[in-house]
Amino acid sequence: MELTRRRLLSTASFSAAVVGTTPLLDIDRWLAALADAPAEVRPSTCNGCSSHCGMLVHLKGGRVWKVTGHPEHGRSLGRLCARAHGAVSWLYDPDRLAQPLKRDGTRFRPISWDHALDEIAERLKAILARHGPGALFWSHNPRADGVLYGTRFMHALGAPTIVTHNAACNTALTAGFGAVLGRVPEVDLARTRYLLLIGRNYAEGVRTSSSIAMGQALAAGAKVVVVDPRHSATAAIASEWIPIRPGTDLALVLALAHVLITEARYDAAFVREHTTGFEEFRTVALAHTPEWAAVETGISAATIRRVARDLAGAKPHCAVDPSWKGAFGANYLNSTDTARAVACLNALLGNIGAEGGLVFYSGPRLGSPPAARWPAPPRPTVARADGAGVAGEFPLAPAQGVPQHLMRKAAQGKVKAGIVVHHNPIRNFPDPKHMEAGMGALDLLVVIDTHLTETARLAHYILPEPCFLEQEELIEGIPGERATIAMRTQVVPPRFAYTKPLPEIIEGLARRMGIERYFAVSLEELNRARLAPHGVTLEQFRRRGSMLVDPSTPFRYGMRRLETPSGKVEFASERFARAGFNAVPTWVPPKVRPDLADPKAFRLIHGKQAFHSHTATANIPVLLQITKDYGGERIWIHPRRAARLGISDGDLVRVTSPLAAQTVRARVTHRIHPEAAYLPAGYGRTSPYMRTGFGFGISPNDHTVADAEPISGHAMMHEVIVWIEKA
Amino acid sequence: MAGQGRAELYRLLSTALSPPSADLAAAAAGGAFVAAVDRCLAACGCPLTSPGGLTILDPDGLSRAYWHWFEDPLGPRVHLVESVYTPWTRQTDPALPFAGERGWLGGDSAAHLTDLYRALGLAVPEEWAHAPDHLALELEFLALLIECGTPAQAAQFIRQHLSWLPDLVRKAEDAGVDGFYGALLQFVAAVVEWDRGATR
Repeated sequence: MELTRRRLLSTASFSAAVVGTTPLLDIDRWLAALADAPAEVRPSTCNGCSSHCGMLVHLKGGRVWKVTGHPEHGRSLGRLCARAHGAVSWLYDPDRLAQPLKRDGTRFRPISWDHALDEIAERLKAILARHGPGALFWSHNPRADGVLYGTRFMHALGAPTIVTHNAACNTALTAGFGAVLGRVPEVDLARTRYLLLIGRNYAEGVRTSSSIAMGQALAAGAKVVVVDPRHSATAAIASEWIPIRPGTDLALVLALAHVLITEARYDAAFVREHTTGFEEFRTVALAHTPEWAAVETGISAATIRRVARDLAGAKPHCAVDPSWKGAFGANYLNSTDTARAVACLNALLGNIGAEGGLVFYSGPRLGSPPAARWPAPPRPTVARADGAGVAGEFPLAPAQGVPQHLMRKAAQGKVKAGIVVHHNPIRNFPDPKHMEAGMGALDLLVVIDTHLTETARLAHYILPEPCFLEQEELIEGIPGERATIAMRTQVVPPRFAYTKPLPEIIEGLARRMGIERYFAVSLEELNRARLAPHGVTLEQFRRRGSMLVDPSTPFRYGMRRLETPSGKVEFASERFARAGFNAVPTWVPPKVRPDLADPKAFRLIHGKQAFHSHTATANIPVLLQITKDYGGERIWIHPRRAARLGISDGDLVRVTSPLAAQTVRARVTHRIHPEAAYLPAGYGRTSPYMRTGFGFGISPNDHTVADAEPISGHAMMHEVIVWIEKA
Repeated sequence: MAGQGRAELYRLLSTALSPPSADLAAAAAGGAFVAAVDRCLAACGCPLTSPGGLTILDPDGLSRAYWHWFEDPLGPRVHLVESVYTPWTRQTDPALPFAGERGWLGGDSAAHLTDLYRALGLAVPEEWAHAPDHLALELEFLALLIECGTPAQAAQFIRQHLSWLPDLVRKAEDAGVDGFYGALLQFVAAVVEWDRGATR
């Protein structure tokens, strides 16, 4: 038989004459011409972490040539961190997912978009018909279009269970500050005169605007005190580092409150006018003396008194940082109560709404399409499968959910289907085997992502998204003294033809599920509507990308009605009491403690590095190279403990827990509390298809039991003891 | 005739490096592919002989093999793309930390060929848009150059755009690429090397 030659390059006019006229054939001449070509600048937003800083993308010949910070974006203010420069490489990664895939036994095979969406819709319909909308969940690390399209899609199906990354991050903060102050405030960082950072690490959990503001505060003479078991990069530039026994921040905070109250250094007028429940909190605080706290925390009573007095001396232009994940976001059994206590301590300082204290910013006004064309689906009436907000499970857990509990339900067969968007819960939550057991038990797992992550490996269908600079996304509003409106624009066309943006995927599924009436407005129309209050057209905004505008509620200093039931600071929470928890924050010891008599036992703690974001960036070669160059994956051990174990700096050590035994090199350093070992959180990729990060370093999640703190449902990621010995 | 044989040979190899059609699989199984290659080799005076691995026993397995070696995200992902094996750019002014590194799509070769195709009125199918410097496209373009350009232009293209093939062969060997595609990649590299010497 004769073979038909495929013609890949279609042409109507290719001829000797045409070839002869082009000067482009020689790549050296082409490169020389490119050197003189003008650069084009297009605005977008970064995806190196969830801050989505404003980014200016400089292009030459259609390729990204460099990125710089967008000056008109409240989070970047003209600067970008290392993650941004590394994240651009995703655009050119040959290992990105290029086409929809369907599981076929232990392998995947390609499938067309139409067939994939048809099959997913049919399987979803069958699962919903048989098991009800409680059997479906949506999981994501929220970005604006995921929140809007995901919530709409789920609610249109009557499905309430939307879980996020936050249970591994800041749900204790949300629940704790929510109870006391109504929501989480921000520090008026640039104008503060005394800042107490308990675990907060502005220099490594980078948002460049915060780094700039903290630098301004320090330059203006502010005192910045870092309380942390680890001498972080923030501690290195702070006025003072106070190492603390991990898990005992609550004891410190209660003792600080004790000093303020017993020495009458708190703001009595503020407490009288703007708070409720003070007497109940006072009773608890009086029971927690600095001497008692010194035993718990390892910080001397004199130091505790000094810090309390210094804070009081600077009030109200001072703050105890609400932190983020930090020490009390998702780490200990007592983290929600720690967050509540920190909120109460700030209230004692009268700094709520004060210059240099804690402030509440509003976001910008964003328009919406007419309700007739953009009807909101009814709120689901069935209970969430993850137990968030459910009596008897996690009644006070924020709507961000309890994914690790959800996976327990899935493994028990009570949850049947999930859609995971741009998120990797198997690697980002404790005990990957627990998470895998849940994901693996599902009848249908759909993963929408750009890479074959640990979670995507278990999917029945993988739907590939374009990279972040290849798609226009929903306009975001960011709160601030000046609010920000920003849009991720399409800077370059999608490199892979068979990728689809999330809105298109959801609209396609919605049509097949019969809920298309909730998606009758296109993304472009939504963005036009969002911009309408600001007199800017979408075409103009695509060129601008980001702008600072007046917030919907103008910012001013001073106390306003809070979003608590009473409108005031609530030292005591009726809601907590009704749910069976303490009305006021009181001492709760951490769940586990290392046996101090055992030379090998350590509490394992983790934290940020300035050049990585969770596990997402460990697969970026230039960022992982920074890790390799500086030994960034090593486990930190105090010299005194290391000496007893015969461990020298750089030695390979074995880290053992009931869940795992792994080896990693040691960094022997005075920068860590002797009872703790610090391990950076972003390494230990186990998907061999994340070829750069695979097998490099280890993850604290491999040693941490999948558990949920009873109040906010967070993952208690520092409640883990490991045994370390020389390998 | 020699030129026509060379062009035809590169077009055959380009076809073989594309996702396989049923036609190609049948030709590879029935010996028609090897026969066509041998005719081209003879026509252009190339002393090489087609390797035995280019005849296959299982035509149904060819698509599976292509998917496994070159496209399957669970497979070894041997990328048939020039950019992946060459520095992303030789320009010195980009402020990207990976600008001089290997391993990326969209490098100088891809951007150059995109501009070149556009200038010459050649359209790349959308499924190939991610890699205008895919080996299959480069070989087909070389065939066009042999037919419509000058020998010097073809020689320049081989020198500037096909010097990465030894790295591809090494990568394929490391990954264990065998059978039809193992033989094909070695053969393509050998043909290009012969042509480089012949046209020098």
